[in-house]
Amino acid sequence: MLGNAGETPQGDLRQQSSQCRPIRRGILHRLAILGCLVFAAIAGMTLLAVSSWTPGNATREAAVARSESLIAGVAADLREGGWPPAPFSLKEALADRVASFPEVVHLAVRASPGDVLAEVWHDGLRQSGTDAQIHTLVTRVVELPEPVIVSVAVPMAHTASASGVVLGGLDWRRLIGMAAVALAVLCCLLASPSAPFGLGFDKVFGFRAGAARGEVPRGDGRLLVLKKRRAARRSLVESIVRAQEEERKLIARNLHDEIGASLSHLLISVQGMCQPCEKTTQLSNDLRLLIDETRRLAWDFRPGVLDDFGLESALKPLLEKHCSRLGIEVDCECVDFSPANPPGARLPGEVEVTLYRIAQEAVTNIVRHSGARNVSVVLLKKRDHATLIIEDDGCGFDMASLPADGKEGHLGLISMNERAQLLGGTVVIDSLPGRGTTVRATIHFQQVAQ
Amino acid sequence: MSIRALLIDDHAVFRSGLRALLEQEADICVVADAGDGNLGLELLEAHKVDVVLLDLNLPGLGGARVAEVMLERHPRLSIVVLTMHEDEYYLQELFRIGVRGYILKKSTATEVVSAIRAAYRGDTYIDPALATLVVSPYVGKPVRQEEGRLGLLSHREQEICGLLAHGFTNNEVAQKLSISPRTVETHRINIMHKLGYRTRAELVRFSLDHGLLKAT
Repeated sequence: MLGNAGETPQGDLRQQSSQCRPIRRGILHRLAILGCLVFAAIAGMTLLAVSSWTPGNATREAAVARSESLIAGVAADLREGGWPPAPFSLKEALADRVASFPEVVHLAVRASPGDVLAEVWHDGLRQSGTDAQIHTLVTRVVELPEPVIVSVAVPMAHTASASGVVLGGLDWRRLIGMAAVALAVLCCLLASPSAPFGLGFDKVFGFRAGAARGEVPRGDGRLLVLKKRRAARRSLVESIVRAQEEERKLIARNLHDEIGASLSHLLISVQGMCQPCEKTTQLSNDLRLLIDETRRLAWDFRPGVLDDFGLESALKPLLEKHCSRLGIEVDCECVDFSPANPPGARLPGEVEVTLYRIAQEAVTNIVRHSGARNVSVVLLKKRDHATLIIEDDGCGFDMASLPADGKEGHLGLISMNERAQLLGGTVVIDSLPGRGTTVRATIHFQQVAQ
Repeated sequence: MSIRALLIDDHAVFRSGLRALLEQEADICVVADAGDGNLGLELLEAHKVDVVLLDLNLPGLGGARVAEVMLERHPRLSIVVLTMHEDEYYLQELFRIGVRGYILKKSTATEVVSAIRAAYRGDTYIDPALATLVVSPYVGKPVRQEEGRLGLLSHREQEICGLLAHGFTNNEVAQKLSISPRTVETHRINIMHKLGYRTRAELVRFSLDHGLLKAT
């Protein structure tokens, strides 16, 4: 009937759902990045395709028209210059003409057999040896006394340029397209977990999602540092808590065994040394009050029964001392599930103290805030863990209304959790307005050194 | 014939005060006193003693252990514990060992004397200040009448009762049974109402008595 009732109540739903959110965010993050990459790749390839295959007819015609006017100008110069043309003055005339045509790379005038009468190069291209990248756009025969051939050449990319603007000989669309494709390919390579570069994007983005899951990817220096710091902090808190407990134990013992005992001795001496009279009776009563106060103080620091007889022995008096005197009904039940344990088997000392302090904090909260009429404490001892449940039927509270920083006086709730976490345990608080509050602490004690 | 008493307490002032107090009584005679358990054990062998007045906080051998050893050697010996501890667990532990009386150090002299006399007679004496503590489990609690009450709960309620007794929260029970937390809450209220309970501790006891809790 109880199916898997034996398993530990692990974590609470709220905690789980709050852990899921960063993971989901991480997935969205990755999807967004992937989308951007795909978009960049498609856009880049489109641009490349456009720049390679669209002839850009309109621009080409415009370029041809400009070349024609350049050639017409050159023909006019030739006619004016007389025949045969002086090579030097012809070259000067060509240079003058070509100066107003920045897109032209090469302007040449040849005699009909092919001898070059004069030519002008765009210096940059000539020097960088990019002859192969030029394209003869227009060639015209000019009828002079002898026919000459005038040719105009432009850079290869220019013939396809949509706008006619040249960027250092390269089309901007081609440039951006290539950059986009290169970026997309690079990102894909980096994003692959088995990237040959060693640092996959998954590690960069996996940092967030992985950290939210509590995983620590190996080899990431920053995470190691964080991990070390956290461990250092934890061990510091642990040693502070341990020192605090030791000190409380010492103070409690001294109060109880020294001061308390001395007062008792004084009391018995007073009774033994004189005949009873009004004054000695008064003195005795005062001493009794003092003894009670000392005992109460010692108990608050650390109850002797906790160390001498165990957690179960300390829980009931805790409830009685705090609740019963206020008229709150208390009920306490301890169950040992482990058949291997002898009756009265003790939990590891640290577990007992931690659970006791959690119970103490919970009871303090109940007394202060809940207005409960019934309080119950249940201790369930199982083979490898112990669960302590403190439940009241008081006013409860809205879990969502608690600020996360503990400023509103719910430090107690946080400290309960911190205490449990020191031993790798968890505290789950379940409450609804008007429905009371349940505090459940679970500590696995196989790892806890006794 | 007077009652021969042995005092064991680590405070010399207290011992002398107690001795003075007891010697005012005609029927009590303090035959010896000791500051620690080992000396007490030796003195017990050296003298004929009827009642031992024993402190629990002793250096070396603790009071409870001293009582154990003494009763092993002299099973008919009467021991009265005189202590600061007001917790029922000390009381239970010491009576389990076999002491006859348990009184607090803040008691009046009359109570100490009464305890010694009662122990000498073979009676049990508990400090009246502790009586409330001893009977508290029986005060104001209805007599358990659990027989046949399991039938009051439906199968589903029994299942939920067991899970709650195992320490699961309403939300967790809801998740396990694939029902809403509100339904669990309603079942829980019904269970409590049917059984006349108010707390989870009572549910745990009920589940324990009716086999709804399985050992893990």
